[in-house]
Amino acid sequence: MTGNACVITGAGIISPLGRGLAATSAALARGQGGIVTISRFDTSGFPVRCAGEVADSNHDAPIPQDHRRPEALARIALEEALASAGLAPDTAPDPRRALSFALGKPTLDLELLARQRSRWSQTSLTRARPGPARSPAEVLQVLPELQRQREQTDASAVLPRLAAHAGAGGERYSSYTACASGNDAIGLGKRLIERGHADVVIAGASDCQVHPLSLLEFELLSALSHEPAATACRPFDRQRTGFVVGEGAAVVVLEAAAHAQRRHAPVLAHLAGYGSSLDSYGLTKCHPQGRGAALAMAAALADAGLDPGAIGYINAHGTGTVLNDAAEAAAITRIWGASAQVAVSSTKSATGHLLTAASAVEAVFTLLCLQDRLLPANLNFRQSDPDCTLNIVAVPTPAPALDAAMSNGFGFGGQNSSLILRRPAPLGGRRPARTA
Amino acid sequence: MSTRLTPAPTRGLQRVAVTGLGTLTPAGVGLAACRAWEQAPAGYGQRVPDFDPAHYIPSPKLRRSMHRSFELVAAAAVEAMRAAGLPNAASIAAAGIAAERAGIASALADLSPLSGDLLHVLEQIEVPVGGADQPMAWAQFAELALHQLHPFRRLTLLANMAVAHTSLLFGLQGPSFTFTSGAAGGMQAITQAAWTIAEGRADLMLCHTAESPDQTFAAAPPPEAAGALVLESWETAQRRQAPILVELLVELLPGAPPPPAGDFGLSPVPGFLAVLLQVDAVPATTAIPLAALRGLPVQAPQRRPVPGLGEVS
Repeated sequence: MTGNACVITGAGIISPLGRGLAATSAALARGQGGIVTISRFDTSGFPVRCAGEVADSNHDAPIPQDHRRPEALARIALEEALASAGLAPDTAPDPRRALSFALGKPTLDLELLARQRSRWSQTSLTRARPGPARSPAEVLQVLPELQRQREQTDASAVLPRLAAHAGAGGERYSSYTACASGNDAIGLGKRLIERGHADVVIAGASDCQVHPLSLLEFELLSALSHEPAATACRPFDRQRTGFVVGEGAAVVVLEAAAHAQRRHAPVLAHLAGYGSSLDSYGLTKCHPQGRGAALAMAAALADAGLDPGAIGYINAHGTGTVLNDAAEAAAITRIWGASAQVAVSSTKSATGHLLTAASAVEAVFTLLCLQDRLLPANLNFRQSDPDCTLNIVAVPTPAPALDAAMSNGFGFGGQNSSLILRRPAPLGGRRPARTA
Repeated sequence: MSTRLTPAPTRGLQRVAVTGLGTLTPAGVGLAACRAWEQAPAGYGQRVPDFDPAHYIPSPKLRRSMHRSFELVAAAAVEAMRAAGLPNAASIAAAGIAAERAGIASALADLSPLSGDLLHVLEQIEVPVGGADQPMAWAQFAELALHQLHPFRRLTLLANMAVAHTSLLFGLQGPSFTFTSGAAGGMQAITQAAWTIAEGRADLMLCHTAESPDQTFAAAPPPEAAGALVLESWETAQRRQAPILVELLVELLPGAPPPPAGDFGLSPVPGFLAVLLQVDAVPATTAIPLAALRGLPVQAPQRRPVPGLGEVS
């Protein structure tokens, strides 16, 4: 059976809570929020005016605000992850080092399209709507600037650059499972390590959808909160009204335990479990009793060889939408029982929903939670919802006995994924053997 | 209602069988047409001829939510699942395959955000002619977009919607992956699906891919094509007396080299269909290392007779 234990030896993060592990850890300990009024474009006329923005003013060099932003965020997280793992950047490609990454959908340059519309407005894409002979290629052919942007931002262009920086000469996987993408990219990395297909996997996700079109697309799905920034995202609260879009990136360095030991790498955590499932219920609505979510959590527990009681904290997917939170609560209740006291919080209350990057960023939050033994807060939780009878962590709370934690990521289309992280065994101690 | 906590797999690797193949190309439906199209693609048009989604997707509601690539994926999946003797959710249940033990692995090219409704909105907004320093009329854009964009526009951009649709079609609730790795994606989907079964995490994995000039975001519009492949654990396939086409050997897959960096924008479809044609071409008593399908050198013979299929190695 496949059985190389997978450990996390490096991590990097940039999110609305700040840049880097130390800043993020401090922000989580303070119960700080990162959702702000959108500064990037004029939101007059938009029903939604807040987002989880990465503050550009805190960085040495400005982060591009256009289509190059997701890669720039990924690069920042990658550099920190490599440094914390003790790996030098830009080394010769190592065939035993792979890349498993999820890149958010590149944003479309609407200004370019609008200003240059005389060049494309007679294409059949607009003429024949909704006729049969339509092709996006017609627009790209008359707008080479857009084609160049696409070439720069497509995953198959970005990933080789990230891989080169990471010295990853092994296989490159680009995953896309909507808001479960980050967990699935990391989970795939775990499998590659376990099977012996790689010694090191650089895994993570990046996304930036704080963009006029993206906000309107989510608004059309009736998914967004219209509340003021400070209280816009209220996962599991009775008065929750929707999610808030955010941006950011996170990267972890996954490593075979024996490989990490050989090079005396610091072990930040064990990546103990991963589970994936499908709802098979709806395209936008999750199964109301959390059927698929429960399957993913159960699969992750089985993969880790742990009973539910071993999990001390769940970083919930918790978007803040009425149906999603109720379904996740139902799923947790299915596994842990109606009277379970497992601590739960959604850090989306502080960052907004980072979409493709959400679960990768939250996996790093969970890692910090284990390291600091401090449960991050579910901000804006004021009133319990009878449909979400969970033990919600409303303020940052010390957890001195915390050993294992779960992080959930669920997405449109009924995608579900869960990760389980454990604190590394103390020096001289032995981690219980994996069952798989 | 409770959820079962399935024990983690503790046995050795499971054997993996291919039990169904399905393709749609501009030459028509099926492997013979696919082979003809592959050998002489210039002789055909860009579209799958006489394609009727209703033939594959009974639910009008589901069809209404599907764009062309997703219809093609679903059709190829139905072809492959029919070939495997599992044409619908009821037949999967009747075969004793639990929904949560049946998953999907998919590979898709980048989906275009350039839809007709969006371009129509952009045609209507006032654009400052004074240069790039003048701001866009975002308020006007918002007003028009909220009234004229399709409410489900966002979903048409998400590559994993191919999986979402086929999971609804067949009731599959197991593990799932979608790869957007360019030309490498098709083989990555098949590889991960095979390993998922080999490790005992699923009994069946449906793998698929598709693309359409309507939805693919590329300057050169691709022809319509779709492919699907059904993988099962050997035990499951034998128990239900499924038509086993070949065995896939996962053990010999080494740490694979990366795809070339210049594979930008390339489609996963040709590579995926090439695998299907390879599988279709070998005798039914054959085992193929995954590594061989990926074009990698392998230590063992690339093909060997399979015990249990009438020939003993």
